[in-house]
Amino acid sequence: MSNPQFADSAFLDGRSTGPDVFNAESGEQASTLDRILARLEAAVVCLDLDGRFTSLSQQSDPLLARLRETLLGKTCWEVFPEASDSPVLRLLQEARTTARPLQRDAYHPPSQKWFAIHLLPLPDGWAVAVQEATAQVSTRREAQASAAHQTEELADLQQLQHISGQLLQEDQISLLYQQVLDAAITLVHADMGSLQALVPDRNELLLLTSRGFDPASAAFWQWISVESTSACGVALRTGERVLVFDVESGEFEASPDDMRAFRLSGIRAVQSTPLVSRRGRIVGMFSTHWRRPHWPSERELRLLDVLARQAADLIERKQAEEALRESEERFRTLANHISQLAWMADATGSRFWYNQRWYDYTGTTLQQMQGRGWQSVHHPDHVGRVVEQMRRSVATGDAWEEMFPLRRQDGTYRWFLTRAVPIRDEGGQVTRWFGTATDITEHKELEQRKDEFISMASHELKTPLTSLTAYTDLLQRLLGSGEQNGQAGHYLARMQVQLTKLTRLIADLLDSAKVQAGKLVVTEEPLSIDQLVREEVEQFQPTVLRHHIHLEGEAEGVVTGDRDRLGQVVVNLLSNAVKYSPQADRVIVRLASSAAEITVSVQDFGIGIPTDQTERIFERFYRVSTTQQQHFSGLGIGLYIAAEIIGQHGGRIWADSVEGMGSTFAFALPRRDGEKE
Amino acid sequence: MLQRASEPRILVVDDDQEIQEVVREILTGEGYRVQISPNGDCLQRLENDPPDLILLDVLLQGEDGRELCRQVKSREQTRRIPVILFSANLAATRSSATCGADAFLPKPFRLAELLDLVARTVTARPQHRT
Repeated sequence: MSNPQFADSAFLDGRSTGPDVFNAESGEQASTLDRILARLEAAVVCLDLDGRFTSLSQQSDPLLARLRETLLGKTCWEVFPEASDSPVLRLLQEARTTARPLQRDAYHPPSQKWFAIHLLPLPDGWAVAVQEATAQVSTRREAQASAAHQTEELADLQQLQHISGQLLQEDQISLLYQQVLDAAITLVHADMGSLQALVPDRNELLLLTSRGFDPASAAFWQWISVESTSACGVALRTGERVLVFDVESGEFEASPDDMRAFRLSGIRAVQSTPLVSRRGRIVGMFSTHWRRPHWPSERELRLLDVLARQAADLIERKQAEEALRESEERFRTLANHISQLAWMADATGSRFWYNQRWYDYTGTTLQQMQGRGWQSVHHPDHVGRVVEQMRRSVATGDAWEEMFPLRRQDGTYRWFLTRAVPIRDEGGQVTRWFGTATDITEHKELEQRKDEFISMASHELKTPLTSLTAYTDLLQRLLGSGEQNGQAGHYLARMQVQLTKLTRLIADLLDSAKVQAGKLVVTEEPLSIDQLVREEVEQFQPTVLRHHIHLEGEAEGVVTGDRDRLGQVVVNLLSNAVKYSPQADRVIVRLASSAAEITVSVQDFGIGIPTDQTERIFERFYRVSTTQQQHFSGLGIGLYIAAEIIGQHGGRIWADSVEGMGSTFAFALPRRDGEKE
Repeated sequence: MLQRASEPRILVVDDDQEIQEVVREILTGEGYRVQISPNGDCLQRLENDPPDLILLDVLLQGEDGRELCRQVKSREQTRRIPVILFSANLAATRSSATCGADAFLPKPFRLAELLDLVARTVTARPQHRT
């Protein structure tokens, strides 16, 4: 049975056949050798005790003839690095110790031939005769080698499988590193080894684990920079495997410090294999070391690659775990320091985490909050709504937002705005819910104070205006109609127009504040727009002196909405039409209806608006910027309020205009006649 | 100007003196008999001599006109008296429907608006001056 360990050596399966042919003595050495050379017609070489070739026979075989040229003066380890582990070495030792000539059959893979090797120990070396084996021997040997090869493959696979099994079972990652490294050292028959991870921030290799190093060498190699002259440094730079047959040969240019570290641990040969992640990124380095000059075989390197894949996966797993841990830590630090209360729930909505502020505010513990415990800090009047909202969102995966009171540890309730968003995995599945609760108590109080202020201001401003309007009306009644009273009647009419304007300005100001609070549209009742527009036009006509309002068309159908607010929109459009057409004397109001909506338009023949500004005029405080427009006063909120009102009714508002020709403002509201109340 | 006992009597409840005066001017000018009160106290004694109409301000000193209206409308002896709520606060005026008011009038109002609404709401037609 052959030894699988040496299957890949250039010469394998040494088996002593040891005929006692030569009984060499030193004096006879040359003549004996000459006789051998003459008689055997084989290649004969002489080696000194260091393994250096001292003489070679002339050989007709071209393979060996070439060898002659290259071998003289070199050591056999340089020429046949793979032979360092082979039985030939032992054969040489054995031959020398016993001082007996030996014979082995050996296979040479490059030439795919079997050779008979004859060994003759000499006092200062060896004589080695190599002769090609007969065809019969070759066939026998090949069959044996093939069987041996298969046996070895099987053994290697079993070992790899064993390692993989261990890697799957073991959770502690540092132990995993050691196991992979130990396996590699065993498989490639190395004496030492190391596993390093690339730390991307530093672009340096960090020693994860090592075997067989002198502690000082291990410490020296704790961090290896990309500039390092060590084998792993070179491999990191080039991204390719580095093989060093002998660090002492002078061909490997290591720094004096690295050489010191090599010698300290007794390292002669090194291989460093970059660990490449499945995404093609270098994540580390896998090195093995030998105490003698050595080339690992192709087969060993293939096995090493399998282990390197495992090591790369391990490092990636470790780095991913660490990144996740760091990211979690950062998240928790952040979440504990934000001013909001925060929580997390799993995909089913069950809460499993709260930030410190939650505990500080509620005065509870995680234990108290678990399961349905969180409901205990919700106000009993609102908790049902919140539970229902959470249930709905878990079912649909939609984010939600709610306002509700939460109990503080002193027993008082404060209002919070809670937002909960789903966190999804790459496949879009909700894995978690993240919620924040912002204390809006002060905001709500401010809001209320603002409402109270608006209400008060409204009252305070309108009360004197009410008296003024009423007295003006009384005065006009006292004087009779304008024609009879000449100048006085004319002045009164002007006063009334201005009072109407003032009333509208105050109303607009208050409305714009209400728009911000979203409290513009109050009632929802079925309305006839046709009737509404006719009434507003009728009331508006007497307030203007020059213009005549023409009503055209009809609007069938019903809309739902706020009578006063929609009336306000019509009046706003009418006032604008009059205001911006001082030279004209008519305004046309058109009513129309389709199956879906009712349209009202107001056309004037005034100064118009530049086309590029017809959309912006509905913005708050926007005023058309042309020299002509500057002669007109106003706050720039009338159309903004109109647009808000129409918007809150689910309608559209727009403007068409030609500068210098006039404008048409229109709005459309959805018909609701088909709907049942 | 002369007023007969048969002419409709209107109770005006408003804490602003200017408003009291101008409303009195307008209404008496139309022949109504006008009674003024700065607060809701008078509303507690309506049973003995009920007015034909109450003009009630929503925002009174320390009182809510809507609440006063609700009380008037909840008592059997007074619930048939028509009430017009008027206020400078549009939202408050418009929410008055829930308190049983018969009509509401936003301030500021035009003379014609007030007279029109009063005429339509008052139980008896006013007797014009002769």
